[in-house]
Amino acid sequence: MKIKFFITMLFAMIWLFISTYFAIWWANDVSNYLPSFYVWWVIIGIALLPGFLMSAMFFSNIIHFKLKKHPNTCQDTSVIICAYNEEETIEKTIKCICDQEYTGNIRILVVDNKSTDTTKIKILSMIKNHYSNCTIEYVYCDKPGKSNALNCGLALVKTKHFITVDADTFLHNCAIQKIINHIENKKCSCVAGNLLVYNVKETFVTKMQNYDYLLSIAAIKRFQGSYQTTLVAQGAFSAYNTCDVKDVGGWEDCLGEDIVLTYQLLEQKKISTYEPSAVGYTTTPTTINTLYNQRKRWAIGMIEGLSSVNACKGSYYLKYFTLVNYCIIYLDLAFIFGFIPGIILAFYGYYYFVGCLTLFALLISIIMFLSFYFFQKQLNIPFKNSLVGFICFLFFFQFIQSAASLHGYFTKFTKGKEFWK
Amino acid sequence: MRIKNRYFILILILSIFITSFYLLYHLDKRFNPKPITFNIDENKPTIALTFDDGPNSSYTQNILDVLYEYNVPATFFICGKNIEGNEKLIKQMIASGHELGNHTYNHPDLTTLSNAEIINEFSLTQEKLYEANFDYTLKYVRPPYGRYDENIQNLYQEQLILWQIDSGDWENINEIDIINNVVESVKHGDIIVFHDDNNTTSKALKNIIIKLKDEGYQFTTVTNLLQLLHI
Ligand SMILES: [Zn+2]
Repeated sequence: MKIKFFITMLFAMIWLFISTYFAIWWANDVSNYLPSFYVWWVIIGIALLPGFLMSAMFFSNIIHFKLKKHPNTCQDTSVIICAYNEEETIEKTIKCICDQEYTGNIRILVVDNKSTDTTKIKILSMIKNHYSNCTIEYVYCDKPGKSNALNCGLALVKTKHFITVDADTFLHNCAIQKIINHIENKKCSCVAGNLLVYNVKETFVTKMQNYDYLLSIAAIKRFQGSYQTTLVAQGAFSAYNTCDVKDVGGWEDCLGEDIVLTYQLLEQKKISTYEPSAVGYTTTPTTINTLYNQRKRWAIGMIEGLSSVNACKGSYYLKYFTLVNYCIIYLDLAFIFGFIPGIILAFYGYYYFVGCLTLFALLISIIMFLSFYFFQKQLNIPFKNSLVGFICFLFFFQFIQSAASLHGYFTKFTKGKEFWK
Repeated sequence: MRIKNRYFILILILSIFITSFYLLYHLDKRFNPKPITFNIDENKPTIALTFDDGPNSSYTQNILDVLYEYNVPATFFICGKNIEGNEKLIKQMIASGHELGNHTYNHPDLTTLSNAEIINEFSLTQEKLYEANFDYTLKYVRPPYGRYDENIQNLYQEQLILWQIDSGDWENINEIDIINNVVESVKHGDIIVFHDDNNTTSKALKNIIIKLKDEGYQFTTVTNLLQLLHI
């Protein structure tokens, strides 16, 4: 693992070296016309730093291309589902878990977090059915807030490991087997599952997100997971070691409770990984506005995670990936205040930041995305494709993502923690 | 939540536009500068700075900046082959009030060419300039390496402009030598030749201008200098 990380960093450094060589020439040229401080700020933020981070991820994922298989375990496990007004999806979520091809028993704890719709009736009707290897329990949590609901569920868990699944996330039929195999054999504290988009065909917003999940998010998780440092074991589908989660006191009451939990585990030098073959299909926002809000929450969650722990206590990998996350803030700023003005300048015939080189970068990104795509393809897990979605993802997604993230950072830095409680 | 998002995005878009406007304003000032204003006092010594072999994408900008900073008009003898890709520099030269002259297309030794070839060398540069949408007629010609013969003189007569002082910046010498070459032998009515294709010239230029201004010299274009001398 250490050697592979070293080689990855070496590769990325070489890439950075070569690109810096060209960037000096580029920046000197543009500095003739624009303030050189701004020029360097933009070039680092839209070319050098992203190039370094992307090449490291690309190279690492290439040398970890082969999928690791883990022997089957048949231990019993528990699944916590938190539901707040989820009448439309809760049945299907539970049914997907009941239909799992799993060798052990599954105890499903559905935590009703003060729902005001028919969620309760739906859950109770599911309990009446009989399943060979799973039992469903209805739990009522009267303290609002997802972290409270999760902690309610955690208190009832008796198995060695447990899984959290969002009420709008539908598991692939061997997802639980795969994720439990991984956590048991690798002795991890948490394992993030591979999330794909369920409602791909609904709107262009979901089509676009399909590729964000399939290519970006999965690639980042795989990169981090290769070094046992997956920074986000997302609440939507992850497995945890019960003792470890109880040791850090469960989930904190905040917007990114899953992120904060993962950081707390990592700070204790616990292992957090990623299992690509454990797939869940999640329902994603269908409008730009809801997507924007979701990404804003993620950005706030990221800052919460970063500020909740002292990364220096963790492993070298944690330090690296934490640093990368801080860089993301800079990258978002450079995208909005460097790349977009660069496009506007290009319209006026000044190809200083956006020009031929951008097309070249686009080509490289497409090659990288293709490699990630083929990795997902080899898993033999069904997912939907749409060319429109890919094109939208390539050209528009970053605008929404960066704007929403900046909004998130801004909210977090100006209002502080109290505002969200 | 929805309204707050709109406010934030509105502010974001506004700041993106402000950034872009600032950059465009900056670039516009660069490429469409106000002409350099200069008043010539007939009782003071006057000289003309000329720059050959450009425009050069790496160095000409620095020279233009220095000239602009010190309010010094100059004359650029450009090569036709360097026009493409450097249109913005030429635009700047014209807008700043500098004068442009013809320094052939390929920079050959004209004494080795036939009359037709010589004429072609100069007219190609002028054509290239028109092609690049500059409505500017190059008034003077300067033969590369200063090499010409009677034949060339007959062809161009008073259009032919050479120099009295060679800064020597084409010889790969250092900044101080360039400065000394110029400052030590300059006198009223001199045309001085530089080359805007190297870094040393742009560094030396600043000091030369400061020193000569201190000594009471004033700078003008070739046309103005000739008018002044013929009076
Ligand atoms: Zn020459």
